[in-house]
Amino acid sequence: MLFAGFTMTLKKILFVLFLIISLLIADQNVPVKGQILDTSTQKPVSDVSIYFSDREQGTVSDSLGSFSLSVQTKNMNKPLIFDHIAYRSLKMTPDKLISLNGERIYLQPALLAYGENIQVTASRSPLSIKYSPSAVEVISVDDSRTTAKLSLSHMIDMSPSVGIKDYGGVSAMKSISLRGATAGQVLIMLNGQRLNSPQNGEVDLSLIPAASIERIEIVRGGQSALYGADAVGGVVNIITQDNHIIQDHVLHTSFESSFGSLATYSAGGHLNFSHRHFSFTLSGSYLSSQGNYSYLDNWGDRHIRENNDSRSLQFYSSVKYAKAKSIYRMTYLFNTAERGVPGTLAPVYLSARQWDQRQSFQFHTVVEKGVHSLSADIDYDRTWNRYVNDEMLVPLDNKYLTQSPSFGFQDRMDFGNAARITWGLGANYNMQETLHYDTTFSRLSTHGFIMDESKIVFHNKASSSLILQPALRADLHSDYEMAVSPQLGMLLFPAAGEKLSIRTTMGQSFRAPTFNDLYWPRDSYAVGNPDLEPERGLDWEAGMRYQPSAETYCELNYFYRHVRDMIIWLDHAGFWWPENLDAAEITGLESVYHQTLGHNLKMDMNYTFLNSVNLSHSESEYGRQLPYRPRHTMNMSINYVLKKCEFSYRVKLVSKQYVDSHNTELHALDPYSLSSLSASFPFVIRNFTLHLETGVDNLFNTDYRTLKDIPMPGRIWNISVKIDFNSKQKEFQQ
Amino acid sequence: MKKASFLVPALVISLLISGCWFNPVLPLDGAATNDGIVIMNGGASTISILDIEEDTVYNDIAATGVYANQIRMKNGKLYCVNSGSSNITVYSTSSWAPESPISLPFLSNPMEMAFVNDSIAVVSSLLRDEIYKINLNTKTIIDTAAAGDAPAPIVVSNGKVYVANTAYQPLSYSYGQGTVTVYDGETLDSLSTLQVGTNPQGMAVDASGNVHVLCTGNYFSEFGAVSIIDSQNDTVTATVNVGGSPGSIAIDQLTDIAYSASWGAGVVSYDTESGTVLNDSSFTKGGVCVMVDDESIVWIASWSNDKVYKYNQEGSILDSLIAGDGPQRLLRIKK
Repeated sequence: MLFAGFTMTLKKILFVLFLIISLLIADQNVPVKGQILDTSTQKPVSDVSIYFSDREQGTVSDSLGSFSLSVQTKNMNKPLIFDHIAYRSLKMTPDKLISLNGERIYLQPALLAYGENIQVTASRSPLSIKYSPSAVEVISVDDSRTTAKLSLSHMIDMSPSVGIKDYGGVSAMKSISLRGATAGQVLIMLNGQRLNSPQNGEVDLSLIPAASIERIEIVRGGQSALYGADAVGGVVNIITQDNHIIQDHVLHTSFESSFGSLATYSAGGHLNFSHRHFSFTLSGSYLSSQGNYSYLDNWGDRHIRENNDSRSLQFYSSVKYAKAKSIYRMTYLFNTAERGVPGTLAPVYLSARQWDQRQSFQFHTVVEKGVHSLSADIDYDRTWNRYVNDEMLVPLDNKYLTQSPSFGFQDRMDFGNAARITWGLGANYNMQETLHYDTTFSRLSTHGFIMDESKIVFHNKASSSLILQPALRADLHSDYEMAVSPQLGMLLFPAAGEKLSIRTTMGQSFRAPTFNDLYWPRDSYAVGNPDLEPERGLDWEAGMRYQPSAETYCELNYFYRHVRDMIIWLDHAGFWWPENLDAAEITGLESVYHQTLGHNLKMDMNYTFLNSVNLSHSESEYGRQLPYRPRHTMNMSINYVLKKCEFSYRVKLVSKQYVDSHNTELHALDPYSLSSLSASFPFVIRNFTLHLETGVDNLFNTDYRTLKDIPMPGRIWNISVKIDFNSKQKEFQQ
Repeated sequence: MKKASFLVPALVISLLISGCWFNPVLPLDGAATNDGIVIMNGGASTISILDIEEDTVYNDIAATGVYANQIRMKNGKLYCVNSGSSNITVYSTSSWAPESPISLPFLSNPMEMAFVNDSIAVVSSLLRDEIYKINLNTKTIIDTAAAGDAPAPIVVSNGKVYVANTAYQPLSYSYGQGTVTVYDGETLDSLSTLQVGTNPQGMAVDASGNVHVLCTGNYFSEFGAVSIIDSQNDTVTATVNVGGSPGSIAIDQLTDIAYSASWGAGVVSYDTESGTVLNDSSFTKGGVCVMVDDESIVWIASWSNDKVYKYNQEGSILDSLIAGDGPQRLLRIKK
């Protein structure tokens, strides 16, 4: 009896075990993993949503494009959806995915809506323009195009509210103006590393190597709440080429060369190698220009602008290790240049020379853990400059050395729509040695900031939503007072679908007094003022974006900025020193319009109206327009693609500009329009591609100037060729 | 619809390219008189005209060269000495239209000019330590003579050319011994060299033909003084301490009163006969330039606030007018 009872119990147990095992077998999970790449660039695609249609299971690809998912066996034949806003959706069953040996999935780029471009500058982390309360422009550099001949100024001068002051010629100094802000009021960064000179606050754009640039992000309007000093007019962040990490070893090389007007030629090369989690990039270029050109002087006589030659050499290298949720990246940039400095129309200097050298090192790491995305940067920037001119009353041989090590830490905590809080701490040390005077100046700056992005969805009929982005930053400096910069951004999507958005931003910003402003050594002509305070800016802007389809995009912005305590160098009977004196008010309107017709024709245009009013203490200057701020600027470009050949036409129109604070009509720069034409022809020959590109700048040979008494060259043509080698891929493509 | 949305902006662009919105508009500041005061605006690099009868300034009627330093009038023509562009720009005072300029040697840094007669002028060259004899008709240099160290102010009196040498030492930002070199006006032969005060920056001739040399000082420890040269025997006969760091001198030949102006300080006047200082610097506002017209009205150019002030002999302000950017030199002209 006892045995019979035991047998019954055993049967029950076995039955239960059988059921459990059957269930376990039935629901056994199969690991599915892979990497998602872009078909055209072969770069990893992050933030791809991977899910089943019933949304029971899903995941998101990481920064390497990698993902892993534990799929129940019953779902192995269900289509898995790969979804990303910038790519065409892909469906694939896990079975098929596993059958791919490389487990590599390629996504084909969709016709990207303009506002969906990803930027990192306006929010210090990846965010599409669409969700940014600030006015942002992203300029991507097409990998296939030749870049050795391009300059940074050439890449950005068609952007809204951007003006370039050009000292003439291929490699002459070029500086930016953004929304009427001077070069010293615009923060220029290289991968988030500040480039503005502590000596004079400016950046010479002609010295930034163009060959290594992947994209440029321009955030218009004050941004001191995120970046501290000098971001009064906005921020330009130059992003260098990221390494292409692909699990198998891949070697990608390219060589390019160009020649053109002004006896200019260039040559460059690019190498990218990746193996498993490592990748390495090296690029370099050399440019030489004889530079002399013909011009009309103020009396209508034609002359040759001499002593305008230049030579420059640039290197860029990057090493990256990326695995799972962590990235470690080191970049090194070096450039050196020698050029003649001919001065203005009078006095002309026939033998003045300038040498510049820059070395930038950056270590960047990102570790993702839970809701945290931790990043740290260690940067070092060194510039050396020498200017020799023995044609002056006092022969000059000036040598300057600046060194700027910096450290930054940032934590981004993502709590979904409720809050995305980013906070960070950092320190920056600037040192300038004036070698010809044997003097050294230094400044230690520390900062802390916090920013939040919260999305509020209203459960009303229109399903509207609101994004709030408050930010606050405090900067402590060793040689001038603390600056606190608050900012509040708001973005409203009035209706579901997010085609229309209305945004506004308000905040405070500041520009640091430079070492020249504070410590210029007393000589016969000038002396610095160590009591200077930073310039302060108060910003407010409002705008709307409307994107009814991927083909059409419109943007309209109004902006207002009041700058006080402007640092002005005053002339006291031939003796100069700076003071916090004047104020200015700048208001403007920006409109941006993009239109694509079919797959062949694309048009971009933007128009800026700028009203910059001088609120100077001087009766004769009050209410006048600020110098070098044109009231009207319009840019337009048309691109047409015919069987992979691309033709583009660009035109820039700039209205009259005053060159002094009195608005002297006699010296005002005439309005001008500049047109350029370019064409590129790719040829695929076996396993390499040959790109042939030709272009003409200043097509109609316009006599124009962007600075008083600095003539610009006339028509300039250029022909370039690029040979692209790439190892073959045997991968699945959609 | 798509085509329309594309064509409309394209049409707008076409209109813009054709220049409808972008034609240059250059409204010059009205017709100018040739009876008044010429103002050389150093900041704006322009010429303005002050109409004395209407108390109106016609600003920026003509452009100067780079770093204009001095203006002079002769035979209905205005001459502007430009240090930066190493030339002398020439204007017709009837139309103020610029004529072809007088070119000077590259990097000569000309500072001042003076007229020997209707067709000959002399010009000082700060950087080359030379003076040039110019034929105003042919606009060419017809003779060159060596000067002292860093010559700047230049005047003609009794047929002789007086050039003040500032002795500026650019490497040490200091000044050596100030001197005046005297030349024969016809041959440019050097006749004598006289020692004056530190940093002679201005010269003027009084009714007796005596040359008053305004020595600015070194801006720190040595202050303004005027050395008076008797042009009959070329000796320094007196020194008047005016104080401050004055940079401009003018002499009223009707009243024999000289005025020296300091930037940021004021104007000091003295009797040219006795050398007696008549007032302290609170007499009028200071300025970069002082000028006296033929009615003994004192005009002062103030660079810092872009104004020209009008004073009577008693130092009472009569008027102030806004000039161009940085009024630096004043010159009375008549029909």
